[in-house]
Amino acid sequence: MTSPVSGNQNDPERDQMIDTYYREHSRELWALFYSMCSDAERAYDAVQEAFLRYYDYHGEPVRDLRAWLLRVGQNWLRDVARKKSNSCGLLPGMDDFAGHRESAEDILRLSERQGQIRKAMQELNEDDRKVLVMKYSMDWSAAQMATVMDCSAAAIDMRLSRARRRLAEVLTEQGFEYE
Amino acid sequence: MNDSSNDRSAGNISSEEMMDGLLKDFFRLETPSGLNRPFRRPIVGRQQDTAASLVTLSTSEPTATPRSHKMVVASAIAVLAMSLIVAMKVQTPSSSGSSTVANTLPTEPTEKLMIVSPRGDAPSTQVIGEDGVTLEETDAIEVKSQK
Repeated sequence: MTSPVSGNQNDPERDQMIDTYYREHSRELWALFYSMCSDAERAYDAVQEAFLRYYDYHGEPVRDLRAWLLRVGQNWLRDVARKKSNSCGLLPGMDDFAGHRESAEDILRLSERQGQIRKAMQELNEDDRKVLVMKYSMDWSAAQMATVMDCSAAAIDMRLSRARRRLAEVLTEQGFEYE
Repeated sequence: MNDSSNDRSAGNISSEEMMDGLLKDFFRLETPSGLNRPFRRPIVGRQQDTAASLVTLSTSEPTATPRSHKMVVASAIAVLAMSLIVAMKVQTPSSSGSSTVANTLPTEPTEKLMIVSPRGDAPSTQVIGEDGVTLEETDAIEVKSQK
């Protein structure tokens, strides 16, 4: 997406454009960032950071906003990884269970399961993670993924199958039990 | 991989369908709910705008005003202090000067000399003044302070 408008804050037209772009592409950006860091919250922060920086951007008009946001988010993720933040967060996914009726044991079990899969995902290479995220988080077709990853749909299907198999192997090695 | 799907009963992950379901559940929980909400308008940026506008507002006023107020107060205090010091210094020499003046008063011009009789304190009815007052009458005059 070309963004001819840049830098002018308090511009309703620009604000509207950012809102629309966020609504349409934030999930895709999150998925791509998630495939890089395997951390849902961090990937979400990267999305927010990229959009915030674009909001404050005052430079030359951005020709490819998606690429611009991806680059900003990637750089931010690298910076965060370099700093190796030791900040203590909530248990993964615990926010999603707030107010639900599951017992504490169920929540803990579910949280552990999420952690196990997350850990196994980190064992995959980035391209395998990317196709899994695009498929299961964004529900993209092989054709859509092929466009993004610059390969054929058949290659995407093969990669997807291989990624699932590899993930299953890692999970089995970890002693994961399917309930 | 499909041929080992019987392992499911044993709790192992063996089929693509199982992995499919597992990954769907995983990403359903993993995806932040915030992504479904609209873009969080950058509050920080807005705050900066507000701060900037506040600064602008304050700069629209004469910036020297607060300083001039302070300067006026400071200079007034300084002037007061200086005048106090000067007054104290002036007061000290003037008090000594006043004694000097007091000392010199008797020697000051005696153009109006006291009217005395050449006969001293002997009783006399002789007129000694231009207004015809005798010395005895002069003695009888009671001097009272004017109110």
